[in-house]
Amino acid sequence: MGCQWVVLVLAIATVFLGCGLHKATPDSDENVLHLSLITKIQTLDSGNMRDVYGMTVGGNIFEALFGYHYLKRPYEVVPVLAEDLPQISEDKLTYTIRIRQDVRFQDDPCFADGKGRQVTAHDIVYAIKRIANVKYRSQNWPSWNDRIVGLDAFRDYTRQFADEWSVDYDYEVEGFRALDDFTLQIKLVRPWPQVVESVLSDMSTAPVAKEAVDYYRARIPQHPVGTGPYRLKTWRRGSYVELVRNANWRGQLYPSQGAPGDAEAGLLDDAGKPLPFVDRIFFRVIEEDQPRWLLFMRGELDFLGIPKDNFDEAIGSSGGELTEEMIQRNIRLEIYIDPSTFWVGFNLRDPVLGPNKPLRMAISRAIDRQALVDLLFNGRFEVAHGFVSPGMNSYDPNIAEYGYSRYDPAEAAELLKEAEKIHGGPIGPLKLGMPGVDNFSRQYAQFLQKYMSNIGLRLNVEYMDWPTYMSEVNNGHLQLFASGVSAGMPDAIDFLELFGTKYFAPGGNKFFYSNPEYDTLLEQAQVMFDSPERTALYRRMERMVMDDYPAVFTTHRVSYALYHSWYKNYKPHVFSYNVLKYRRVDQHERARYADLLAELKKR
Amino acid sequence: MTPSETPLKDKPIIRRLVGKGRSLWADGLRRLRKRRLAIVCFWISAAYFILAGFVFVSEIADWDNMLTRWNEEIGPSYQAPLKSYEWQSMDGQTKSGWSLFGTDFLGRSTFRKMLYGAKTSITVALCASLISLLIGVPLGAVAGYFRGWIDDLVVWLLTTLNTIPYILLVMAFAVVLRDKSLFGVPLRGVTGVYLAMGLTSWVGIARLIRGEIMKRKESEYVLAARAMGCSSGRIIFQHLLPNVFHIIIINFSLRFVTFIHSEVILSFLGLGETDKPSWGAMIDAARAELARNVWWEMAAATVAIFVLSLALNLFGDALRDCLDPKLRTD
Amino acid sequence: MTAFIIRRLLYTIPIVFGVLLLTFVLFTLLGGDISYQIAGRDADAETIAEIRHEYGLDKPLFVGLEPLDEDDWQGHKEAYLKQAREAEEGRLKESTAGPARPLSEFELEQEGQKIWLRDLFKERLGGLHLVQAWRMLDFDSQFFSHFTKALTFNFGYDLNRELIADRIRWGVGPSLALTVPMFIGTVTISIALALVVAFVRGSKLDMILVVICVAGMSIPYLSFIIFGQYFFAYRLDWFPIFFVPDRSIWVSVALPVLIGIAAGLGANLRFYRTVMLDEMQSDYVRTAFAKGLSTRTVLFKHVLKNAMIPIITNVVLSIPYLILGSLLLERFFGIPGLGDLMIQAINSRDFFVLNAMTYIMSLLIVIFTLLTDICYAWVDPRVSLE
Repeated sequence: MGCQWVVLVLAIATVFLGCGLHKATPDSDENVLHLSLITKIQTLDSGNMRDVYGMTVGGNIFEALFGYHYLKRPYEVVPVLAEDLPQISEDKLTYTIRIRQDVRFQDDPCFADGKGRQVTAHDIVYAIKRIANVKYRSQNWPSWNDRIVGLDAFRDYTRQFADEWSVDYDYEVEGFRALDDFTLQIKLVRPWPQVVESVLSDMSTAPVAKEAVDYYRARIPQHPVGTGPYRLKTWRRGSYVELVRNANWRGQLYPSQGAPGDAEAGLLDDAGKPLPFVDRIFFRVIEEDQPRWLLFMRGELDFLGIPKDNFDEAIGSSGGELTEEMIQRNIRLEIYIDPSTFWVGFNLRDPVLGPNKPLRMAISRAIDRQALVDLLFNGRFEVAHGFVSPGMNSYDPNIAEYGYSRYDPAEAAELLKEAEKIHGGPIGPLKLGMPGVDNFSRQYAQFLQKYMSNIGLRLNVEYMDWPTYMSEVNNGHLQLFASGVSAGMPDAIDFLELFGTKYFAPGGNKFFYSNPEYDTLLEQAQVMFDSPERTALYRRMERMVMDDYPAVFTTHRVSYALYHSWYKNYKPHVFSYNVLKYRRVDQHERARYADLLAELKKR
Repeated sequence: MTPSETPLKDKPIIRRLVGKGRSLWADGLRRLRKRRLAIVCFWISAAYFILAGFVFVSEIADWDNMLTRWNEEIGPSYQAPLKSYEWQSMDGQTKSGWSLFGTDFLGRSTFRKMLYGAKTSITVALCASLISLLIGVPLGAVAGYFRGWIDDLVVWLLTTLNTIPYILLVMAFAVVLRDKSLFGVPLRGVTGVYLAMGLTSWVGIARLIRGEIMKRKESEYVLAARAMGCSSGRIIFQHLLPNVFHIIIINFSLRFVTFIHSEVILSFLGLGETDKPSWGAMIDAARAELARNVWWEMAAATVAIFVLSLALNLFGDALRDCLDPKLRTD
Repeated sequence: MTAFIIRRLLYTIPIVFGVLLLTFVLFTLLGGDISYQIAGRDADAETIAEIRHEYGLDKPLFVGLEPLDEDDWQGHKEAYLKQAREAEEGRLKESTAGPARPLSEFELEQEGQKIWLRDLFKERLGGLHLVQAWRMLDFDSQFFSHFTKALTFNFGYDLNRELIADRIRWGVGPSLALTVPMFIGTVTISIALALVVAFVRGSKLDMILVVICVAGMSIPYLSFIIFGQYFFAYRLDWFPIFFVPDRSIWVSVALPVLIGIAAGLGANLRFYRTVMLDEMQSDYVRTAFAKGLSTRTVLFKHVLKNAMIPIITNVVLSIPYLILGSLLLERFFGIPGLGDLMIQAINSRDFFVLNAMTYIMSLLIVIFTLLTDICYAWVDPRVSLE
């Protein structure tokens, strides 16, 4: 009797299951890009955008004054919203920039008739003043600090207002003015050679419509009003983001010149065709590796950075070659250096580590960076010999020869003896802070523990969530901390500034590294334009820092990207986010993928 | 009945009628011994506890043995089980060896980590279970029996606690306890986790006990006890609680396993043990390693959990059957 | 019964109070300062000060409203009242849509100190009187705003300046779509099986089922998810691998629901089996069988009904948690529900979201506790209703 009951319930369950059955075939008649984000994006407000994923999406909605050429290498700055490259005065202090007259904001209810209006130089001035507005608390402010004539005064002026929206933007900033509707003039406090490639190419200086900010106020991060090829259709934080073509975009043609080899790679096939190619871009937030990988393999994602753990499945142990399974599926691989540096930093304010250089050196010698790369990054990262990453203009090709990255346990043991003399006794356990509680952080820390214990140093690890970690590091509570930085431009000045006394935490200098000689050189370097002398100076400064061992510099990131054969015009671009307009989808090829999978299954 | 009279059940005539009788426990154990599967399960569980105890004692007494040296490098990274290998150790010597369950990413023995993990998991589960029983059973019983303001207070307390999501409370505890210590014992990691687990999960057992007691307090035997002038405390702890004891046992065995499984989920969220091996941490690490065909770490931890859960559950079941007073027909 | 319900309703007040007290202790006293989190890396001290101000983290923790000393405010009385009167006149001029309610409270600044006046106008511009002036040292404390926020359901913005209410609203649907079928499936299947198992107690079938249950319980939840997703969605291609907003939510939740049922069945079945066994051994069941009643009648009319108390306790109190969804399932299958919201909030330490969620959960649980007690009374008359 009871059994009948069970059968009934099972029957109901089966009906339910039956409803769920489906055939998952990607929509082939729609021109859509399917991409993934590995974590939710924070904001789509151009003035406060800092995270990579926000920019991956926002880069297609907003446009800055300048940008980088999509195909040419080495990277070349090109005007985007500007008519041309800026006119620079003799003293390198005044920049005059003409702005295109055919730029319009996307349509949005914040405008009087719902139609996007023409963009003027005032919108860019507004965007910069907004970043300076202390009540708006833009994360981008540090790059502007003490750079533009009158901008810091404006920041002080905004302090008196109750909130960010009541600030009076008519307050004139001498160093950032619209001479007329389409001419912008920037006056610098001192020469800033990177102004164009850093801030003026950054999404944060994209024109902002004051109407939009006043209309949406606190909700502006969810309502981007941009000028780019796409506009936001829907955004469910933590789930998905959908972009559609912006009808107001002025249009642009696919570049007809590229770097050597681009033509052979098919990257110039679309030369001269109007952009963008794709009507809709669909980003799904997928935090777990497994579903992301499975979706890609099924062809439901067009592009994928290889998750760490699926590495062997995608790429054989040989490294750099796709496995047979991938080749059968027509999957392509692109390997490129993504300029960045990771390190285990020392807190030089710490009474044990600060005055004891042999101790820091001993730790540096005790860590086998190659083993770290092999074990934790499947051998695909590069060992860091200095702190300037390969792929940047001033990268020193000889840096490895100076031996900063040497792994030498015997020497480390010697150095440790010396360090103990300085310390006046055996050195107790050191405290390392990890900015995460996940498995990767644990493995990383265990790796360090193992190699440090090899020379007789004990390491206690504290795993913290990001905010705790940040405040502990900034307050100098940790002895060692794992950290890293990615480059935003080919110039290494951002990396060099990490060691300036001026940039002590909460600025970038979390090491509390202070060297008067270095500071003097840094001030010199900061106003120098690119030249062989500057490169030499950059390299000299790098070695100065390396000689003091403020950190164990461990790795540089090398990215491995997989994409399907129908994903056209893909070329890795590490400094620009305004790139999806170049992508094209071969819909026939995508449609055929299901058949290919079926065929492979049969075999 | 006047106060000076002896209670009914102490009268010689009643004593003679009732007889000496075996105690509930003696009888239960006698019956339990007849079940072979239960005994096997008991010894399996006991083995885990002995192992955990051994690791615990070795750590305290600073004994140097295989398990306290779990951190030792015994071979190259990710070496498959039962394969002999040659490798160069960190001190530069070439050694050869083999491992039973393979090695992890730093060339440590998965087998040792698995054995060591018993201590972590059992400490967490045992402490959490004990805390939750010690708080939950008396509170639930008292609330269910007396009702009134005591019940209101207990229900208020448990409702309030119950509404704070479990994971959240664990996290809050971990944060608060991070730099604090109790009687010189630092409350980091595992300690915070089982305190939090125990302090939140007593709510479940308290609720169950309260419900059962509410149902049973109108039963004949309680009414009889009350008529005989037993104190409330005596009724609760000598009459009612033994009658709901099987529920405590079932709950304990289920909960024990739940705690072990919770440890896995907490490790997934990064809230579990971080310094010492634990099954949760092993599964979390192995989840990532599976894709590169490193299955032994996952297998070792899963099997360890599986066997312990199975043994505990089956033993708990058997114990239940033997201790359930209503089943005593002979 | 009505009196009972009313009593229980009144009883919710201290519970809500308790929850608010506890959340305050957790998130405000113990939670710590999250302004670094909002500020992002490399933020300067003044940005952090701004954030602390915006999120009210610079307010004093507890209430600190202090009456001014008699002679301290008597000297200023006229000045205070003048300001209040001017404010009231201004209000009258501005209000076009009929007369507003007379001003009864007024806040003013005196030498940088906030003064709070109470019981001002009994009637408009007539009978102006001032009984006591208060120094608003800390009236606007974190403790106070914690309570007002909760009681007005105005949770404000999360760390990303998105309305918390919006995010919760978006998440409820998908979460329920996942958990309601899962819950109904698990409960019905496990109760049905429990009845069968209880009936065939001690047989081979019973043994096998128990072992399967225990085995199922012994497999970590993650393994169910990882295997299920790989095998049923990817290999067999029966289900979508991941949530797609274009498709019906039911398609996306089908597989997670089945995985949830499979993973939860063991523990539930074991629980209900124990409950049923208890009843099966009762004398009345034996009597019922002895009377010659059919198995069906005994099982459904007697056993099931008597086993209801523990079942109801278990079932009803699980319901509020349905809102929370299943953290891991949502994460792996991309269901944009509240579980996912919770994980995100935990990871980013968004105490504003956690606080709001905790509070809403607590309200639900309060309601369901009430229902449980009513159900007790309904199925088991032995439970008396005071």
